[in-house]
Amino acid sequence: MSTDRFPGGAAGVPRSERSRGRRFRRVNAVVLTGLAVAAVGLGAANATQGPRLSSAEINTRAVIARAEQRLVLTANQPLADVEPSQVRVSPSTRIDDVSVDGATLTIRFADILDYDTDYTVSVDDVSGAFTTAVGTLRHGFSTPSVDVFTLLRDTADDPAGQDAPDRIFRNSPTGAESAEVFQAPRIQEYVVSESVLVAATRTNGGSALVLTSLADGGSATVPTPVGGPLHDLRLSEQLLGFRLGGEVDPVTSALVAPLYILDLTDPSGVPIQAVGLDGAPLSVRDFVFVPGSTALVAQAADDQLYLLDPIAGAAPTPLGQHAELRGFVPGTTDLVVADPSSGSLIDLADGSLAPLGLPAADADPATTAGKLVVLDEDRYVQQFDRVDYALARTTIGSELLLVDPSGTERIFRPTSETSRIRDFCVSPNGQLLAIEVVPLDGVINDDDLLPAFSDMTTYFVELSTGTTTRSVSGFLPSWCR
Amino acid sequence: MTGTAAAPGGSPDGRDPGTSVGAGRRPPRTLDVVPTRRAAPRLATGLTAGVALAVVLLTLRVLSPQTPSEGVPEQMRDFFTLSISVLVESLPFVFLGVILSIAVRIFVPETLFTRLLPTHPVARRAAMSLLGVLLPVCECGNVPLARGLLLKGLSVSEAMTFLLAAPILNPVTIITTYQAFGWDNGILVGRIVGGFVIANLIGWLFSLHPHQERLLTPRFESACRMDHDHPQQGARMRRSVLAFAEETSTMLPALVVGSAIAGAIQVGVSCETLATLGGNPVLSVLALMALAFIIAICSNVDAFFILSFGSTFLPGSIVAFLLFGAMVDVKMLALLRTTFTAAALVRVTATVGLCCLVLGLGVNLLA
Repeated sequence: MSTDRFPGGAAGVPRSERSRGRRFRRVNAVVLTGLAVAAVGLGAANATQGPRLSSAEINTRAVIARAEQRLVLTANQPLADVEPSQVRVSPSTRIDDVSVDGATLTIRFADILDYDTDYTVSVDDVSGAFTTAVGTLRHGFSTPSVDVFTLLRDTADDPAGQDAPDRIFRNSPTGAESAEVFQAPRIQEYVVSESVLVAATRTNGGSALVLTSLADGGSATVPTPVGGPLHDLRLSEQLLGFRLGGEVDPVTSALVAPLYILDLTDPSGVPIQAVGLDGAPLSVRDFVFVPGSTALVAQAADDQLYLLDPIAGAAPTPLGQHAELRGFVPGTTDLVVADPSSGSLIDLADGSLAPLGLPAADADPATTAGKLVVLDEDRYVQQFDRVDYALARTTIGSELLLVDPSGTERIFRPTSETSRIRDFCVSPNGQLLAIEVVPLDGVINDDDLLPAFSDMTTYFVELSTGTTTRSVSGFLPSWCR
Repeated sequence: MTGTAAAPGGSPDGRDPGTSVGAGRRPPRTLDVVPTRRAAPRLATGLTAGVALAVVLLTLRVLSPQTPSEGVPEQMRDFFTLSISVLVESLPFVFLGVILSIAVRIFVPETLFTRLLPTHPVARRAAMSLLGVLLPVCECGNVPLARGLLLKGLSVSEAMTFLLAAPILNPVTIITTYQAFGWDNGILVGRIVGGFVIANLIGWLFSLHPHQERLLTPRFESACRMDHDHPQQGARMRRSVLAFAEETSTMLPALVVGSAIAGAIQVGVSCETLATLGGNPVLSVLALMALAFIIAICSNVDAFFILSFGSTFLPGSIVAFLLFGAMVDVKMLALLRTTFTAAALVRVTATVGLCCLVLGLGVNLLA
C-alpha cells in the first residue's frame, strides 16, 4: 500500500532498503490477491453446492416403543420444502409427515419400527433455500433389540430335595441371550416395565408383591391389602394395577374382583381402590391400561366399560357395554372390543365407536376358532384348534392364521401336531408374535390361579414372514401383560 | 535503529530486521514518558479536575429526573444504550490491560523477553501469539498491553501478532467457545487454529517491512524514541502512576469514540436485517463478519452472543464471526489508531477480513 511511509525511490536510500520495500509490497499484494481468489472460488463452490447432511438425531429406543416418532436430519444449509414422495425408507415403513424448518428436516414415522433392524432413510433431490444445486440426504440407523420376559415354573425338587424355585428370564426374541432376573419359591405371575419387575409370589400366608429393580437387582416387598390372592397384574408407566380375591359370577363364570392401583412412585406405597360412578368400590371382570398413559379401561361385572384415571381422581367415563375386552391395536389407543355378533373399535381420543369389519378367515371348518388379536383395522391373527378324539388320549392341535383382505395365511403351527397353543400375543410394535405351546404330555400345575404346564415353550415368530426367530422355555411372555 | 543497517533476512540476533522500536546500538532500555519537575503539579491539577468533574456529574445525576429518557427519541436512546453497553463491557479490560502494560514496562526486567522468547523470528512470533494464555484480557485490553510491549523493545510485527492472537488464544475465550459450541462443526478448532494462523500471517507480512516503526503513529513513535533517548528515572510507583495517567488519557477517548461509532452503526444497521442472510452459504459469512465489526463485542463473551444465532447461521459464518470480531472491529480500530497508522490498519483489516472470509467459506463447504 502506497500510504505506508516508505522512502521508496528517494535519493540516498540504500538499494537494499528499496528492494526490501518492494518485496514487502509485492508479498502483501500476492497474499491479498491469493486470499481474494480463494474467497471467490470458495464462494462459487458454496453457491453451487447442494445440501449435505450435517447431523441426524433419532431416539432409537422410542421408535421401537411408540408410533409417530421423528427422525431429525440437519443439513449444512437451509432447505427448500420437501415432499413426502422424496423420502425413501428401507425396509419400507409408512411416513406420516415431512416438514422443513431452516436447515432441519423432520420425518415422522407413522408406525412403530421393527426391533433389531438396520434402516436407511434417503431424501432425494433436496435443494437449498438459497442455492440451486440439489443433493441427497441419506442416514442409516439401527434399532435396538427388545427384551421380553418369560416365567419358568419348576415344580420338581432340586438335588437337595427342596422345591426348586420358579424363575423369570429376560430374553432377546431375535438374538440368543437369556438371563435370569428374579426367582422365588412360587411365582404366581409378574409384569415388567423398562426399569422394574413386579412379581406376585405365593407365600404361606397368601400373596406378596415383590418389586425388583432391573438396573441393580434390588428387591422390596410392598404391603398389599388383605382379601385374597393377588392376580391379573398390569403395568403402565409407573402404575401397577391388580385384582384381589374375588368371586366367580354364577351366570358368566367370570371372576369378578375389586381393582387396585398402586403408584410405584408414591412413597406411601398404599394402593388406591378403583371406584365406579356411584363412588363405591368397583369390582371388575377385566381391565387394561391405555398404552403410555395413567388411564385404564375396566369392564365391570355388568359388562359396562369405564375409562378410569384413579391417580387423577376424575370421574369414570362410561364407554358402553361390551362382552369382551380385546386390548389395543398395536401402536394406537384404539380399543378393540367384542360382542357376540361383531367387533368394534373405540377411539379413546374422542370416545367414538366404529364397527370392526374384519375379513372372514378361510379356515378348516373342522377347527374351532379361538383367541383373536387385531393388528389393524382389517388385519388380525386368530387361533384355530383341531380336537382329535380318535386317539386313546384326546389331542388338540393348534395353528395361527393371519387374515387380511388379500386372504388367509398360516403363520404358525407347532412342530408336533399334538402340541397345542395355550395363548399368544403380539409385540407392542406389531412385528413379532409370542406363542405359548404346551406339549401333549405337559402336566398341569393346577394349584395356581394361573396354572402352567410342564415343559411349556414360548416361540417368537416374525409376522411378516412367519419365520420363528427363537424359542425359549417358559410361558407368560411379558407382551401378554 | 539497527534495522536500517541490518542485512535483509534478519539481524544477527535473530530478531526481525529493523523492527525494534527504540532499539539502537545499545540494548533497548525502559522507555517511559519523560519526567519533568512540572509533573507533580500537573498530576495534582488533573486529580483536582477529575474529582471536581465527578462531583459535578454525581450532582447532575442526583438532581436529574428518575426517567430522563422519556423525552428522548427512540433511536437516540438506542444509540446511548448500545454505545454505553460496549463501553461498560470494555472498560474493565482496558484498565486491566493498562495495569498489565505498566507491569510489563516498569516491573518486568528488560532482559526477560530476550531470555524467554525464541531467537528465530517465526518461533518468536509464534510464542508471542500464545502469550494470551498468560494474559487473558479482552482484545481492547490488549492494545495498552501491546503498547507496553512495543515500548519494552518488541517489534511491531511481534506486537501485532500478539494483538491479533491473544484475544482468541487465551483460556477464557477458549473455554467460553467450548461451552457454547463444544466440538460441533469444527467451530472451536476453526477459531483456535484460524486465530493462530492469521495472527502469524499478519506478523510475518509486517516483519517484511523494512521500517516497522513507520507503521506506528508519529506521536507514539516519537514517544518511544524520546522515552528511549531519555529514560525515565525515579521511584517505580511514581512512574507507574504517571504511566497509568498517560495510557488511560490515550485509551479512554479512543474507547469512547469507538463505542459511540459502534452504537451509531448498530442503530443504523438492523441486526435482524443481517440475520435474514443467515442461511445463505456465502452471504451468511459476510453478514456475520459485518455484524462482528459493528457490535464490537469482547472476545471473551462473543461465543455466547452468537450462540443465539447458531440455528440460523451456518457454522462457517460463526467461525468467521468469532475470528474477525476478536481481531478487528469498530472499537478495536479506534483503540489501535492511537498506536498504528491508518495504512497499517487498512492492511490488517483487509488481510484479516479476507482470511476470515476464506476460512468461513471453507468451513461452510466442508462442514
